[in-house]
Amino acid sequence: MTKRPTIPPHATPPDDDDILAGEYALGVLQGEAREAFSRRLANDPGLAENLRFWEEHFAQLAGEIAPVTPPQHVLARIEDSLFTSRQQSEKPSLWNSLGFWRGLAVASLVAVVAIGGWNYSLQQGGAPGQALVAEVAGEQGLVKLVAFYDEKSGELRINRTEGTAASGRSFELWLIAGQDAPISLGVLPVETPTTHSIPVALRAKFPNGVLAISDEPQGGSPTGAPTGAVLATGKLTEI
Amino acid sequence: MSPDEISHLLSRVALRDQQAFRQLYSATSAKLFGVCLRVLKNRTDAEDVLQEIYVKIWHNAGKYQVSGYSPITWLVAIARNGAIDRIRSRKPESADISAAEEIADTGPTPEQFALQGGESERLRHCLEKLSAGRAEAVKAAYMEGYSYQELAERLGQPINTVRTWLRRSLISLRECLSS
Repeated sequence: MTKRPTIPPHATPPDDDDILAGEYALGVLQGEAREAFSRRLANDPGLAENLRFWEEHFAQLAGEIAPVTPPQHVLARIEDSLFTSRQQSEKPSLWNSLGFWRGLAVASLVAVVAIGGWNYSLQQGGAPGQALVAEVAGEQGLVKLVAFYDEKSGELRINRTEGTAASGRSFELWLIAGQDAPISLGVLPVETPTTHSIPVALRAKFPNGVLAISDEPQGGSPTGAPTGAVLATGKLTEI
Repeated sequence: MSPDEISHLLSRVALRDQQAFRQLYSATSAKLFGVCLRVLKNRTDAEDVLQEIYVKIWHNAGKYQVSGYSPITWLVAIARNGAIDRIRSRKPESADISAAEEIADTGPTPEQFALQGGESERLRHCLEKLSAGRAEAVKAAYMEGYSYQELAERLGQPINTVRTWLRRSLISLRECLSS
């Protein structure tokens, strides 16, 4: 019997597990049979090796499947879910309480965020820097969020309290500074709250700036400027 | 991109290198999206599953090194398993059969990896030794993600009959591939 370099041969005739692994690799198993096989895999190296044999051979069939470039917004969604929400979930705090933010009156916003800002800065191990806060809302109430910008760290924390984009649409966040054209800060992730690191070049534009949210095609404005309705705005105010 | 380069990117992803993750995505996502579309035949589902797949790759890249899999097989296996788990959990009528045909790219771009090599020839050789109908059933199960139920419906045979001869096909394939 000739030895294959990458896939070790079986000297004995295939047994039931071997064929079961082939069925699993093909994907023909259903329901409990498929789940039971998955569970066994974790603790059965022999079964895992049987599966590897089939996967290595069958993967060659995938060579006949034409590649299809996925739309750009898929990568944005993946990176948002991996790199943005991970950061915020490691810092659980007042910011994570949706009910708390929803119930908050605008009048008390500044005071509360000031306390949150103090806590936040202390968590980072440094002296508190200057902070800005904005309540971004519109007349129709389609979307509403509270944004907190820490000038020291350059981090913008966003807590969306109302609204999700329609199917196939995205909410995009913009910074408007003076007479300049709106600058995109990116598509609002589905998760909330989130923390975003603001590029150094944009940081000086935050004081006295205005945050705005527009309704855009999925994945964000294709042109780099807002193309859809502006649903909410809010001025950044020092606290 | 060669298997060695993909393997190298996977080791960097295991070390939480976000740039490597993006490179891996740009080199492999069209192939894996094609695999998902072929099984799911629905663009929205395929996009959702592709997202899940890359989240899984990010979290499990460290396991690739010890799996003994070649990098392309490892990625394709994650993609197919994600797509098959999704299709098994939904009602059959949500598929749009023509979707995969309409949107396939005209051909692979230079940065998209190709699957080729001696094992491919070997599988083809062993499939040819089966009767034509049985080889087609094996290929259709793999490419389209058909369950035994769906295969039985397509072939107009009882499910137990289909299972018996697909298992026989696997026994023949195993012996041929190992010899």
